[in-house]
Order: sequence, then C-alpha cells, then structure tokens
Amino acid sequence: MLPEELEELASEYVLGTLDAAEREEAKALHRSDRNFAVAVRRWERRLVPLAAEVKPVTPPEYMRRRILGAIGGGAEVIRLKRQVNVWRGLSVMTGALAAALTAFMIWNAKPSEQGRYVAVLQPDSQGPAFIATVDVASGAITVRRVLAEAQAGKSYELWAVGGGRAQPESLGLIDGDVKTQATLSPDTVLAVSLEPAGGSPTGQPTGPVLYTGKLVATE
Amino acid sequence: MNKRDVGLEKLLEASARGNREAFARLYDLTSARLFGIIRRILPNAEQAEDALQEAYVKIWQRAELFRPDLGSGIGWMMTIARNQAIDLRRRSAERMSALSEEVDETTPSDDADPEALAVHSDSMTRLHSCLQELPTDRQQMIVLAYHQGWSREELSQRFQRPVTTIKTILRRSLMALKECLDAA
Repeated sequence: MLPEELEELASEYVLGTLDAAEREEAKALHRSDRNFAVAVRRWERRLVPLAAEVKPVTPPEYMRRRILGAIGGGAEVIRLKRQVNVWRGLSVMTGALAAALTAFMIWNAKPSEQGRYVAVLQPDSQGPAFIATVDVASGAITVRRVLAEAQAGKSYELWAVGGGRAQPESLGLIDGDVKTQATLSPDTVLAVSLEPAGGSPTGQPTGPVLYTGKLVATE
Repeated sequence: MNKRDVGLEKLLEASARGNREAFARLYDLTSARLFGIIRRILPNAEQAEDALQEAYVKIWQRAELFRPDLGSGIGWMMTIARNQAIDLRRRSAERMSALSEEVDETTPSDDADPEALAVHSDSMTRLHSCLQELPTDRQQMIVLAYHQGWSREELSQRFQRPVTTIKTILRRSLMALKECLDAA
C-alpha cells in the first residue's frame, strides 16, 4: 500500500467510518505494520478532543460489579495463591539449597520481579479454562487445562503478549497439561487462541483469542 | 496535563501491576465519560453496557501498554471505549437506521464535561478552528461519524450522496484537517 493510502486508511479507521470487514483488515495491519500503527496513533491524538466534548452518562450501578467481576482475580486468585503456597510447602528443601535461595532472593532485592506468578485464563464467568503458573526467575511455565474442552481438528495455542514484545510470541500448543520455558517479565499477558490442529500456520494468532490472563504475583 | 489526569495515570500503572482496588477507583473516575461516548454510538442500552464492559476488560488487560509520553490516560481510555463501541455498531446484525436516530448537534459549551475540556482545551480549540475551515456539510459528516458512529452508508442516506462520494469526501476532508492541524 502506498504511504498516502495507508494515511487515508488510518484516518478513516480512527474516524470510524470503515465497514466491519475493512476495520478487521485495518486492525490486522495495525498489528503487522509499524508505520500504519504510528499513523493511527497520530490520528487518534488529532481527533480525541472531540471525544472529550461528549457529555458524561453515569452507567447503571450494576455495571461496576459486572466489570470488576469480569476482570477475574478476586476469590479465584486468593484460592490459587493458597494452593501454590501448599505446593511450595510440600517441596522439601535441603538446608543448603534453602540458604542459597534465600541469599539469591536477598541479593536480588527486587521481590516483585522474582518469584512465582499465576495467570488464570478464563472467559467471563465460568471457572478457569486454563491455569498457568510462571516462575519469572527460571522461566518455567506450567499450564494446566481445567475446564477447556478439547476441540476436534483444533489446537489451543498459548501466546505471550506485551512485556516488551511488539507482537505476540507463541509459547506452544497446550492441548494437555504442558511444561515449557520462556523469558517472561511480570507485565506479560498470556493469551490462548484456537488454531488449526498443529498450531498457527503463520506464527501469529489466526483464530479467535479465547482467553487472556495477567500474571498475578502469588506472594 | 492537569492534576486529575496525573492521578489517572498512576491508577493505570497500578492496574498494570494487577491492583484491583486501583482499577475500581479508575472505573469510578472514568466510567461516566466512557459510557457517555459509548451511548452516543450505541443507543441500545444492552449493547452499550456490553461495550462498556469489553472496554474496561481491555483497559485492565492492556494497562501496561499505556505510554504516558504518547498521550493522556483519559485519551487512551476514551479511544479504547470508542473503538469498542464502533466495532459493535458495525458488527451489529440489526442495523440501526441512522435516519431514525436523533441527531445530537449540541456544541461543547452546552453540555461538555469541564474537566475533560480542561485536559484537551488547547487541542480542542485548534481542532475546532481547523474543522471550521471545512464546508459545513463536511464538518457535520466528520462530527456525526466521530460522535455517533455513523457509517458511510448512513452518511450517504442523510446527505443524499453516493457512498463512494462520501468516502472520497471524508478522506479529502480528513487530509485537509491534518494539514491544518499539523501546520499549527
């Protein structure tokens, strides 16, 4: 696409007048083409003063509960934290290893960057579909399939999003319980997409993104 | 950037770290503004509520992607809300007829949120002076599309011009607007 065409597409995308199919194309371009993403951001800034003129409307009271419920966490995460602590308590540590670990943790005096995290990958309200536990320090990731049903001819694929990545990074297929390894910072978001059996043919999510979850520190 | 927006940015940062209390506070401070934007685009209450929920879930999930050096926190959130509402309006099977919708052409001085106006006041003045350089019908097209989410087809019905003409007019008007804004 010529630069002028990209610019016009960005302007109409931000104005909102593209049809549904064109909007999807523009969003795909936004993910893959840096110049387009920059053009979109500039148009958003040019036009956003118009949004600030709109008269506020207080949403119904139940929306607050609904939305805070939809972002996950809460009771679910507290329960998981306890579980993780139990697993941790069960692992018998030799004195030397414990001392080494303690020294390591004191030396790395940035506790929030260390330690274990969980991400609960779940849709709106039914229980968790997958639970991922992540050890940021070692890069170990364990994924358990909880309520997600296997789908014929399809694979679930796990992605790391954000945390300094320009594009989602595949962490592999998670059709069963899986252990894998990756460098993840605590601000990474994990996402699960439904792909053709064997995984995304392109290296980027091609199917619907079914679940996403942030990493939540377990201590 | 005013004091209140700095507060919003701190709350966004805390939300990015998974702090639910900060996110709840962020919701309390911004939900009326976001819902106002969404309701104009989605007059159907149920759709508007779904869009509000989707928008806040995205804000929660993407909070760490917010870059304060590239714009205000409220601007970033309003953009997410608007995109969500327009996606839903475009995908919506039962097309709402634009002609039956009330055209809301109130000017900002009548009903705007003074705090939001303060955040964007300079850029708003400039945007309006650039918009006024366009012919009146073109100003209206841009404002109807931006505020009420009208599609090219809906604009084509109201302004009695073919859809392809509307597309050309919109793109030319936006490029003229850009030239004016970037020159300032």
